[in-house]
Amino acid sequence: MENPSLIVLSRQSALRSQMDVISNNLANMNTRGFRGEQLLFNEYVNAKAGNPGVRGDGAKISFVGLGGTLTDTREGALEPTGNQLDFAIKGPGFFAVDGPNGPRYTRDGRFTIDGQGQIVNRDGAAVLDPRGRPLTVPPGAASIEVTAGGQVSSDKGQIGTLQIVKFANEVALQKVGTNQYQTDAPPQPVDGTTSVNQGMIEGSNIEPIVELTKMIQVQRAYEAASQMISNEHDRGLKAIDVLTRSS
Amino acid sequence: MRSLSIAATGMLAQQLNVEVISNNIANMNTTAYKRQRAEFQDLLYQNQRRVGSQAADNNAIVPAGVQLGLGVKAAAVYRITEQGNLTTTGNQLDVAMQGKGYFQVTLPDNTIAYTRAGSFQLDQQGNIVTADGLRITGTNAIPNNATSITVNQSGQVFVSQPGQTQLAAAGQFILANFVNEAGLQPIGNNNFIQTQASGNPVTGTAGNQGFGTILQGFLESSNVNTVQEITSLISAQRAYEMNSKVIQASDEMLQNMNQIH
Repeated sequence: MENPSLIVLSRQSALRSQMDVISNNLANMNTRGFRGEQLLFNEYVNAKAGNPGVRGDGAKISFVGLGGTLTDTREGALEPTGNQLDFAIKGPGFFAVDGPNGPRYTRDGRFTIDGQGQIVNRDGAAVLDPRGRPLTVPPGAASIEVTAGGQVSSDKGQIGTLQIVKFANEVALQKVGTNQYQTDAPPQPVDGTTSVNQGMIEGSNIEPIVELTKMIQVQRAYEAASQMISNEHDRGLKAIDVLTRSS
Repeated sequence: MRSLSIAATGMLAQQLNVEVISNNIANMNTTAYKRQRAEFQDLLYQNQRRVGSQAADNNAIVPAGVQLGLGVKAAAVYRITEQGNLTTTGNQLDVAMQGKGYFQVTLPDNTIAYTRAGSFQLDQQGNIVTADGLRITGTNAIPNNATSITVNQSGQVFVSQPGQTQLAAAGQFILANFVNEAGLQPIGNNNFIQTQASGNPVTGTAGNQGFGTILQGFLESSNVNTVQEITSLISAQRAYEMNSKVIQASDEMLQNMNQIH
């Protein structure tokens, strides 16, 4: 008897998670290198509770469950800044930066230098070269150049090469916040279609209007679901009323 | 509901964005002002179902987990160090830097600050000083009978005096350059001081490798593009509204839940 309410409840809790994902996308619409997410749902099929002996199609009910978050891997628009330590990747690929448990990967290329002259990200983590070592700017250097292939040089000589890698399955990267990703999957070298652009940054790939439309859909679906719970409740009351009425 | 607090972080971020944009617009006529922009980062993620875990029913590896983000935070407000336009003033002590480099000025506590605002003046001893009376490194006092001052492209200062056909040298601007200009710390009055992030200054003279050239009679205007700022302001305002819509929608969902009876 409670099954309809329970099914609708699973729908409502799924919609609430979807609302969380949409609001996170909207909150990050100006975050550099951010990639939007959408939530996928699964169907959980169950034997109908309370009717153990019943066979056939009518005996199964299905709930909604969370399947996974799908990251939208489209590129955000590149925007010029004129800052010589801003690098943007065009095409597939990630920069590698030092992290507490192995390298972390990011497309947010707003770098700076620290007291030792190392190229670091906004949180002070060193940007790595292909052998996992930091890149150090020689003292006294006044200008930095980077080639499309990621080779960094200064007016005081070569600095090194940026580690730029891609992954077979970008969707499986785990987000750790601060625009960074972590994964156990082995990184692969990028090919010639990926280029590093100096003095540019990549924006977020969120389309706010699309997100807002999705939000309205979620809200309306939620309302419809709670309307259904309400109706179900009325039906129950009516059933009790009719069945217990003394003739 | 997480979406309430997530949208609140989004509104805070857009508020910071509007503050930075309004500072840019307020400084659109400040000599050599470099526009700033607010930068954001995503917050932590909650894993409801971790990437790479096993699905219980068939032991398959979950290809994409459920990661719910918790919003946005401000990462930095940073300066875009593009060259500003040069505007002609005709004033012989207005000098503009075209290309990289900073003039060095001595602060009252004898530390060195750096500036690109070249609207200089003379003090009572004839020293070349900024509008705030801070002395510029490299220049000598101008004799009080000087009839005109000439600054060439490499920043050498010459004065002509009555009765003399030759120009007399009065020093040369010593410039400083930084590997990471965006790392300089602004201290107001168009001045900057060095930080760990900017690196140590590399000193030299204008026209040498890595340094820009100096133009007399010009000033570098701010690099604020007003049309761009107004556009950013509109988009920041809309973003703020969208985040508030999320709060409204979440609230209505909660209200709806309360009405079930």
